[in-house]
Amino acid sequence: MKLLHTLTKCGFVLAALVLFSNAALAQRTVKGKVTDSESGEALIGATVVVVGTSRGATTNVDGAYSVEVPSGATQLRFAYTGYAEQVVDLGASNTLDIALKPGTVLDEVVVVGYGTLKAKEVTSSIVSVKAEDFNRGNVTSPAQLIQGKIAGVTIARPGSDPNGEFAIRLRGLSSISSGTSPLIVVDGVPGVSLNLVDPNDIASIDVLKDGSSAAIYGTRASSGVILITTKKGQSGVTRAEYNGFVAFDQIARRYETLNASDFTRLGGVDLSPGEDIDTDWMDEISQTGTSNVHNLSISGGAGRGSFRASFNYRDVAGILRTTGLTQYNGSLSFTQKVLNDRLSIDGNLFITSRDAEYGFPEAFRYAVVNNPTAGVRSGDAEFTRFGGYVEKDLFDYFNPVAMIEQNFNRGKVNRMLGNVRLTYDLMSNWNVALNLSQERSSDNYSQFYSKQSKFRGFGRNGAGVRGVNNNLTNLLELQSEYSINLGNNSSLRLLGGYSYQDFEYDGMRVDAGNILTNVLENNNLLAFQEVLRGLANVSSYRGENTLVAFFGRAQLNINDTWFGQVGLRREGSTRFGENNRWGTFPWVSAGVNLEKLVDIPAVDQLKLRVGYGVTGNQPNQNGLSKLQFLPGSSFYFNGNYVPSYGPSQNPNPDLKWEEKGEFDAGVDFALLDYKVTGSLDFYQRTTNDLLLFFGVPQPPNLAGRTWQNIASFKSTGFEAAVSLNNLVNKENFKWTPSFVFSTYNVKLTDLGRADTVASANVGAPGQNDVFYTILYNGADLGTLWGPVREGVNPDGSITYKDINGDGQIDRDAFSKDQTAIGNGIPAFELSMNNNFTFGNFDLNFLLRGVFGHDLANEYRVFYENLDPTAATWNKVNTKYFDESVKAQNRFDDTHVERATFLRLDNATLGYNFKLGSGSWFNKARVYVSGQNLFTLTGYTGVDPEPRLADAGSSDNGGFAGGNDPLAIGIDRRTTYFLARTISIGVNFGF
Amino acid sequence: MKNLSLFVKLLLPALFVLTFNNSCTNLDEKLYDVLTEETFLKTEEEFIAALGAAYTSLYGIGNHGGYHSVQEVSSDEVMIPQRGGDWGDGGQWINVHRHDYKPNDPNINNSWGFLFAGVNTCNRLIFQFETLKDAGKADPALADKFIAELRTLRALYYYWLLDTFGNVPIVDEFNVPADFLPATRTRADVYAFVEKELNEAVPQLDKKVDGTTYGRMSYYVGKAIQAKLYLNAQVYTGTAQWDKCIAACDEIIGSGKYQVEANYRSNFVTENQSSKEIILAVPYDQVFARGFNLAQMTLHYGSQATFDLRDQPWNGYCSLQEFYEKHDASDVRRANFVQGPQFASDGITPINDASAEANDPDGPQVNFTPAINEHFPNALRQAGVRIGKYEFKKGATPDLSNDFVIFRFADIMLSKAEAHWRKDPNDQGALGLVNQIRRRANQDNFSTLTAQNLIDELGREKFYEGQRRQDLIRFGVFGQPTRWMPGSDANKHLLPIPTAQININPNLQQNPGY
Repeated sequence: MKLLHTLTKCGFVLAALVLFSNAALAQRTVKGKVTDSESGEALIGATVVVVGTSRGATTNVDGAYSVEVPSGATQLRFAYTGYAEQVVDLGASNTLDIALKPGTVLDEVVVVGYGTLKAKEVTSSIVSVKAEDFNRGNVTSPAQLIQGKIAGVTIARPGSDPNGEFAIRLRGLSSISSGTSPLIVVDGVPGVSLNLVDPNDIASIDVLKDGSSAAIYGTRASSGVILITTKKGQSGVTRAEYNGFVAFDQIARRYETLNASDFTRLGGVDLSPGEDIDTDWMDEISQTGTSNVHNLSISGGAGRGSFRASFNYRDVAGILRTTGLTQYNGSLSFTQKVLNDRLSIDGNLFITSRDAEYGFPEAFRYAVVNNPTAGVRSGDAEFTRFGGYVEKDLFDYFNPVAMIEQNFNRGKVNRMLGNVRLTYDLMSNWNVALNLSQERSSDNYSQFYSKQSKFRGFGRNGAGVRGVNNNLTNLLELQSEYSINLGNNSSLRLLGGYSYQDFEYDGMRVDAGNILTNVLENNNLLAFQEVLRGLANVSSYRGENTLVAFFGRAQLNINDTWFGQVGLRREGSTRFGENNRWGTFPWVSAGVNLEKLVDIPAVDQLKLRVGYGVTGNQPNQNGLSKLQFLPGSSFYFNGNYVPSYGPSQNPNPDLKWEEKGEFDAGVDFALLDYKVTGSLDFYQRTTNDLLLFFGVPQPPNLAGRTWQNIASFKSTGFEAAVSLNNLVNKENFKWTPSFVFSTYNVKLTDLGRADTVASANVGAPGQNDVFYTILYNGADLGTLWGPVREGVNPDGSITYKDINGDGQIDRDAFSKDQTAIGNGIPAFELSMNNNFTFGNFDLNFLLRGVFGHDLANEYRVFYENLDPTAATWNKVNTKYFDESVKAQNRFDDTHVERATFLRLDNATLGYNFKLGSGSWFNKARVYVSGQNLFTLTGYTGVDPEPRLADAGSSDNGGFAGGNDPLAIGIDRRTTYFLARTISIGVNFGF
Repeated sequence: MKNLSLFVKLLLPALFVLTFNNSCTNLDEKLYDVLTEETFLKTEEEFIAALGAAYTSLYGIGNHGGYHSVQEVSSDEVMIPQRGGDWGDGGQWINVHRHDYKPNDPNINNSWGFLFAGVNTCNRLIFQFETLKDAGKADPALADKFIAELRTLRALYYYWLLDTFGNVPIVDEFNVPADFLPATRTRADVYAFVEKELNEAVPQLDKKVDGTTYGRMSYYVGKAIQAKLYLNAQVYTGTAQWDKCIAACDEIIGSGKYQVEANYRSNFVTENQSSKEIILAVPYDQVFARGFNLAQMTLHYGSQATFDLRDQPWNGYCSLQEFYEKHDASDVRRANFVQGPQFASDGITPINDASAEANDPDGPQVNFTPAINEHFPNALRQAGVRIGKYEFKKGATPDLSNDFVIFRFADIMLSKAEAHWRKDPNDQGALGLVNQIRRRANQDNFSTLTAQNLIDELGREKFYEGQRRQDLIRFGVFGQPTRWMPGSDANKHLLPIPTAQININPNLQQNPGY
């Protein structure tokens, strides 16, 4: 309701603006046809814009358009992807036919914050990927569409968990505190979930990489901005499209373990003496996952209105039994122009409902360590208490088949986004817009652990978990844009706006045990005795935070040659103390199209650009500036336990915005008649006042750590993207390869008072308070830290290097006998995309490589040595396995492996049917696609993708700690194994 | 240009309205699920709830990894051997047992954090209660009573700091500048501070001994802290204070409010709150007051079936053979250990360890033997008798309900006896007090008191009560080599100041020898 209140107060301002406008506008209709200048074919979907206004139209199937031109307008701009844009002066005639020349990139329309730009006007680092260039195949997340396509954008999901999220990183690390994921903007609505939009419904994805382009989104833009534009309908063109595929997932990489005979030969304990059992636990828990995906969309419109509706269904099964999801997604968009076309109403509605089977990815870990001489099930009486599954009273040891068959872990996630945008033309060169949106999501989760399940169930006599997290985000934005035609192809565009965004969340969780029978599962929480006995864990929470911003921008175009932009966003957040709520985020950038000034042979376009922008970051939780009192353990007072309330944290009333300043210099070029196109970027970023939860002196502080603005880091990077358009250009065979390259390095320049900070506990068994990483002033971020193995002694023990030369080997976490033993940040990333067409066939494949990063392979850290005290657990049998090592497992440099890899991420072969004029279809295509077809790497873990945040340690069936961006390069035992996917699909247009 | 001026004319007022209309820019944070300084401390019930935070800060004492763990593992009564791949944990438990303390070891920093979190919580509450009292928003009598308790509790934390770290900053204020970096004070200063605080606060405390003072800072708890402070004064300051120790003990004994329980073990059963012997205990409860994890810390993985425990234990802490063997077979205090072959809760089904080492002489059945083959790295999983000081109730969760004893009447009797014995080795009163404790344990009387038989008796009586390290230091034998400890010098009587603390507070000084 807070939003409604704000809306009524602030909406008044818009109404005032509209009322003040009284200019009447005369207009006429211009019609025509847009064709290809070489072939003469009609161009469908080309855009026609009245220069200096927001008026425009798109061409229909015949290439025809019709646009209302207000009096005073003098030019039309024609644009089509892959063709040179043309601006044509209007004469007296109401008919205007245009032939566009293929081959230019700099004239495409690029979506930027609060508006669009022509590519040639762009003065900062922005990359736009259109639908026809998206990755194909079994794509389940919008992030996959652009994986490997954009220099400096890393998209990775280590492992193939169907419910796992893709981590997106722009230019490596922007912050090492909160908010490391880029801001997602869908059709102008910032801060929404990527999962709302089905990949099938996306028309283009634009990425604002540098500070000067992202700063208009101010506070959440430090990690970059991804702008998603969804497909829209066209008036007068009714279309239907069906896309569908079936996909098959199989384990692409697994850990090899010892089989029963090798295991016992090497001293392993035989758990079934006299029986001939050799269980391949990985086979027992895995499956070929079969997925079905269907998408149907209809678009069209009449007169001044258009719409598009789309329905998506996904049924996905993972390679681990009992993991998968079923998802329904619907989207609807419409545009209607009223009031003599002066008011444009655009609306979007996205609804997603997912039934997720999260299952138990822990099963991979226990399949690796489970003893191969143990059976899966047994009729022996001793196993009756475990429901007939073979279990042993060992630490951190569970039958993985029992784990996935006895228990469940599932959820229902619903998301909805609705938005309406009203754009009113006060004059032909001045509009004002109101954008309202609401996003809702609810995440219901549900787990049940059987009374007979050793994993989380047996000790508690059955256990159930139910919970829900709800989120509600309201947005109100007002903006006004004014353009001034300065003549001579020069213009000035001014934008001003206000943004109010309110985030509400609440939720609850019950975790209870001890139930009479498994039959009730977790459907009746009162049946759990722990509820009645006060032993159940019950929690709930509610919170709200608000961001308010004002922004302004001026864009100058001089002779279509010189471009400049300057802007400012001032943003306030409730998450800071009274005196530090507001932050100021300015930016400035400039560019020049050199080819307009000097005639360089073979150069078609050459744009130099440079920009600087400041962005901010706010903490990821509420209330940090205040002293809070929470209920703690009870207090024994006068013979009874009564509530006790105490602070949960040290308050920090001085907490303020983390600020990142970023300088970017770049070149965009087109050479040799547009045969070679691309861009180069160099950037340097300095992040100050990092928001970190770091140590403070205790005394006098209540707690040893406080959220504070501490530490700085600096990163520099270089990115290149080059496309060789139609490198081979025969009539029946065309090949376009393109390359993207990126590299960066990050140094901590100041760590405040703390001189070293260790993070990423290795964990149980036996390696608690041993850390993978360390940070200190001047350290390269991503450093892995540990002892160095010198050799193996005849008795199987290990000698470590005496690094400080004091004659003894210290074992403690920070000891001088440890050193940097790797770095989790890649030296560079390189990918190569290839498009072939031959006749009606097309082939597209993406080779993606990440080079020079290291990973600590945690399966080896825990399960490699033939330690006689751990002879019951199986071992990972990689190329590093050494029968002579009998020592306890302890993390050292030999577990840190170079994880450079080259992967065939995606290959798709398609056939487009030639359709006669009488055909029902206007498009028919079949394709076969493969993902992760091969990975070339020396890394022995399941997935060599860089790990840019640490999932945390988990022991003995417990839960992993979370997401630590300070610890980079750790391949934990929680990684879901990697799948290879083959899919077969069809694509029909009607 | 006409349009431009209109644009400016409209935009500026619009911005003006948005900026100065409060609802468009209101950023006051509203917190829904926590209380703040504005919403808390309005009623007497809330006042009591606030006081509770000081006492619940004690609940960390019974868990693994911090203050109490270091007290025990650094002594000769408890160790955590590295059992193959288990319990290496960066060597910190081996370091502590060998008195090879590393300022970087997490258990050292955890000890510091536990003690100073207690101190700072008391400081905060004293400040808040005084502020409310001065503003007329609290009953002055109640506020003064609570403040006296808080000062005593703070003195208890400082007594532990004095004993463990020695030279630490003295901070008795909450309202300090954000950049305040308190400096190290000498151990003598810290001693004087504790003495002064107790002298001022204890007389204001309640002399009742019943449910209203159980688990709280009563007058006699204050006297018990004084007794222990003065008993160790020679260690802390170089000057003995035997008479002051005796005077404090005599007040407790003379009050007639405590007595030695007929059954030693009744002090440590699950429902031990009715013991007449307990002076101060942390009133743990599996529902209300969680954090006492002894069963997890010490029992074998398979012991889950012996006690039908909810969670699988961690197989860590055990006692040492030499210490265990100082208990005669007839000593009721042998029940402080879990030893011998282990069975499921039916008492018949043996518990087998599927991971038993091939060289384990006891075979796969879990058998807690006093002998420990080695300290690290390959101690047998079953080696060592386990800590059974507190009863493990069948079906227990990891959070035991037994109240954790900090001060006990028998200890006051032994402290008084020791102070007399220090003054006169032939003091018959002292001998009588010690023999009273021995008889309860079904042991014959000593004929004389010697340093050896007294320190051994303290060990048997107070096993796992967190005082062994202190007692060994007072008897001058802390640094004597044992089978697993090569011997240490007097610098190791104090723990190092944690590196993490020195890094962020340059006014702290490291203790000598580190």
